[in-house]
Amino acid sequence: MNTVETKQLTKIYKQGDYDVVAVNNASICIEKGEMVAIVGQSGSGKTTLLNLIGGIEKPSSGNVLVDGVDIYSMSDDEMAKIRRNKVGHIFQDYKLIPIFTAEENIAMPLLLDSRPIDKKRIKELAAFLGIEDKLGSYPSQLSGGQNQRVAIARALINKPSIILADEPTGNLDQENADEIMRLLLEINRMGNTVLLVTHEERYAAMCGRKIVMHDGSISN
Amino acid sequence: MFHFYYLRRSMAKRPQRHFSLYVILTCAFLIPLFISFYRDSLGYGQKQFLLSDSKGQAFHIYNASEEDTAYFKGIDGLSEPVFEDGTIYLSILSDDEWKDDTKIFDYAEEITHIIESAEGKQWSVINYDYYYAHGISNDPLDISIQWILLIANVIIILISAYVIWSAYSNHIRKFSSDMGIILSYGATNRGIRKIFIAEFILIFLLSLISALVISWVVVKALFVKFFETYSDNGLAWIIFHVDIGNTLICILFLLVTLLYAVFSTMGSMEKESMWTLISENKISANRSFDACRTPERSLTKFWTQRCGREMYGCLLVSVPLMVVFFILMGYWSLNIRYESSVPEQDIILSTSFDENLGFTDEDIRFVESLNGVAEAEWHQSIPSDRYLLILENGEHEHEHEHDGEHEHEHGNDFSITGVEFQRYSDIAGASGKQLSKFEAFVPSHQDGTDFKEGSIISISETVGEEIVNDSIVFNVVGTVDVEGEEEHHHDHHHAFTLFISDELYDTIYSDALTTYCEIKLTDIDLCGEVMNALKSHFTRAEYMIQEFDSQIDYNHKSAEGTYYLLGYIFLAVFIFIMIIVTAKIKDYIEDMGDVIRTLYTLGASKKTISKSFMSQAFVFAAAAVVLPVIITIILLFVLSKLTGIELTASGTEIIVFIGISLLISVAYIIPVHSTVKKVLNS
Ligand SMILES: Nc1ncnc2c1ncn2[C@@H]1O[C@H](COP(=O)(O)OP(=O)(O)O)[C@@H](O)[C@H]1O
Ligand SMILES: [Mg+2]
Repeated sequence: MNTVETKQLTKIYKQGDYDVVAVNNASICIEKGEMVAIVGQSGSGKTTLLNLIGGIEKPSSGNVLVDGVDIYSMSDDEMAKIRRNKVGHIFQDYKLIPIFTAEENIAMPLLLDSRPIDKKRIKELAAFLGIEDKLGSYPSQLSGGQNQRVAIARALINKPSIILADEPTGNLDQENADEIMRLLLEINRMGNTVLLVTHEERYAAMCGRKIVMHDGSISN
Repeated sequence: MFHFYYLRRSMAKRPQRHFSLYVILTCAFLIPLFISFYRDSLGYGQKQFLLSDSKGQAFHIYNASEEDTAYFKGIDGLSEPVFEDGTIYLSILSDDEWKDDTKIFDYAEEITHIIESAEGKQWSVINYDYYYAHGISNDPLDISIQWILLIANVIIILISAYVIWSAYSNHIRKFSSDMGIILSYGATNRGIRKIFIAEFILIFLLSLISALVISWVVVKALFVKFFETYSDNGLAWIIFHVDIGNTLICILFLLVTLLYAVFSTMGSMEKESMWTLISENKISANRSFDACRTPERSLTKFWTQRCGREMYGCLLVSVPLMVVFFILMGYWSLNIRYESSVPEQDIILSTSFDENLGFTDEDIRFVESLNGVAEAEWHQSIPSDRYLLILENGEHEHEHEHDGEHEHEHGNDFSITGVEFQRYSDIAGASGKQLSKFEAFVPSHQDGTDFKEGSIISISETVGEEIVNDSIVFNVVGTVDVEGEEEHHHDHHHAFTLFISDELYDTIYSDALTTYCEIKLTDIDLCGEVMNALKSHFTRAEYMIQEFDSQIDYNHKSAEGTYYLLGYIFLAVFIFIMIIVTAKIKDYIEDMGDVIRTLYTLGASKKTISKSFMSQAFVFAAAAVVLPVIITIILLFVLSKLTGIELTASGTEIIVFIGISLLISVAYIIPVHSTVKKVLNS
């Protein structure tokens, strides 16, 4: 079964008097354990597509199936559950909650799911990502690379079906970017499904498959 | 629970965000509560004054003894007489009858009849209408004050509602990024609501309790201070009082506004997609923007056009509040001027009038030589029951009783209106027309007659047949407006003055006695001393020595006191306005933090950025200073045109208004300056 499938997915933004078709009739399939790169020029609709798949932006038309269920036909509660357990977001600018420590940010998905905080797992993840000594720090006290590692740990903590990473290396220097990319590949090798948006050909080439977007449409 | 954990964390890590909301809400509650308490207290004091004056009774019969109650027992429609302190009280049993002026008049006539037919009694009677006796003032001045305060109260509540609404919705908006992230990691909208509702309950209760405590303590303290300052002038009627109903209405209205702010903001956040929340996409107006000559000016224009909402919001708070207070203060100062136009006297010395007792020349010299007496004004009077004024149709119209009579200050006195005789030669001068002995001049129109103002009427001396003793009866030639009879017993302020010929005057006053004296003191503190000296000199029971604490004095002191009290309350409200404006502006600049830092990295100097914000602050500060003064002047003009009352602001008042307004500019300029500096240095 496909982990993620989109059917004729379209997103139109109203901007003043005219419409912007950010995603146009996109149908894609991502299988379990795959690592897929989405590439395309700036403004081609990559972020929008990823947000539609992750359930944080509503489509104008079309469907998104995660593990075979149509997430946009669900109730608010059921959809929240999908976001809690099946999807892990990694944003370009980390999007950590500034009033929480690194550890609390990582544990947040567990707390939201009313699960006990698994300190051991947080420690393991932090050690794997190389931030075990930063768990008590606040995002404002950490560097970009460190913050992105915290964000990756947060995305992994609930063992989601798919990890959605939107230009996770975009705000980082070469060295840190390479390191994050290496970690993502490692995460994929451990069996996680990863959908990566990037405009770096080099990173796209490391992925199993490449989807190219142009003006909101998928081109082959 | 994650949601409360988040809230606790937010309060611990970003206390200023929550604290600023708490401060704004507290101030927004305080302002209407202050006015509400002030209004309740004035209304209550007024009511207590009327009740204590009227004792809740329709008729007061003075100079009575306990046994005299027998005369007034069993009058149909009236209550049984009650005796207290030399006065007999009677009430009208049916409220409907009491509300009917003609009925009161009928009862009054009945009582007058009893009084007249009793032998050797010196009773005098005063009646009170239904409203007065129930503590409801129908003095147009009091009613207009209550209305003005009510309108001011409503306007102030509306302004507070705006403050609350804008502060709270801004506050919730600040959480949109965090909420977007939490939602994307699986929180439900219900969960998010829990955070805001928990915070709302907490902040609402805290600020409400703070506001209630602060306003209670401060207003009460002001009243106590006020009471202590003025109590020796008989002004105990300004009493701190809180009407729970009014307070509840005020709180409920603000609570509904708050709930609306919270739920509508949460609702609009729920409508937005999580991505919009996360990326804080605020859709701003698509307005064209032209660069100005200097970068500072371009930036200033940009701030004002795109981000000035909070600044406009500050104007929306400070300007109307200032206007409301300026109008109130203007109104009270007018009131004081009006009340203080009435001459003041401090002690009244008189002989009780039935006795043929007057002050001797020696008495007069004694009083005038007393230490502390600045001026003594002596009045003569003609022995009572000597002259009756009868109008042409024979109606018993005015009975001349006693010159310079002062006992009808409160309540409606229907039965006796003094006729005062004055020498015509005093006003006509040497060149004026000579009156023959039985002619009189009417200086002003008298209600109930159709004597024209400035007309000369003739009076004829006859001996009335029904009058057995040797009274002189003046038959006044002139027609009487019998329809207007009801009117004339309302007129209790002015005695009917007739200017008569010197000849007649001398005849009438040949046996007049000096019976009444108004004493002005050099210093009110000497009052006790002078009173004691007078009491030890005039020991006989027929002499009356009174400290002057009539309605006039009460009104004057009350208007003055209320004005100062209002001044203190304005001072407090002014501080709250300053706090609200300061907090809102701080919020605004802090919200601009990212933009400021970006501009700085783009190469705008600290000076340029700071200058651009300061010019914006100066523009708004200027508006905050000038607008209230202009609006007040326009409103005063319109109000005086509408009401016919002359409501003009004097030069000094305008200067004071501008001075106060200038202070508010501090609240606009200082926080901009300090917050921009803080943001640039972080
Ligand atoms: N909230 C929005 N409102 C209006 N237009 C938007 C919004 N978000 C994105 N767009 C438009 O949709 C198109 C695709 O944007 P995006 O998905 O962010 O592109 P990419 O991530 O490939 O750079 C762009 O033209 C962008 O201007
Ligand atoms: Mg993008």
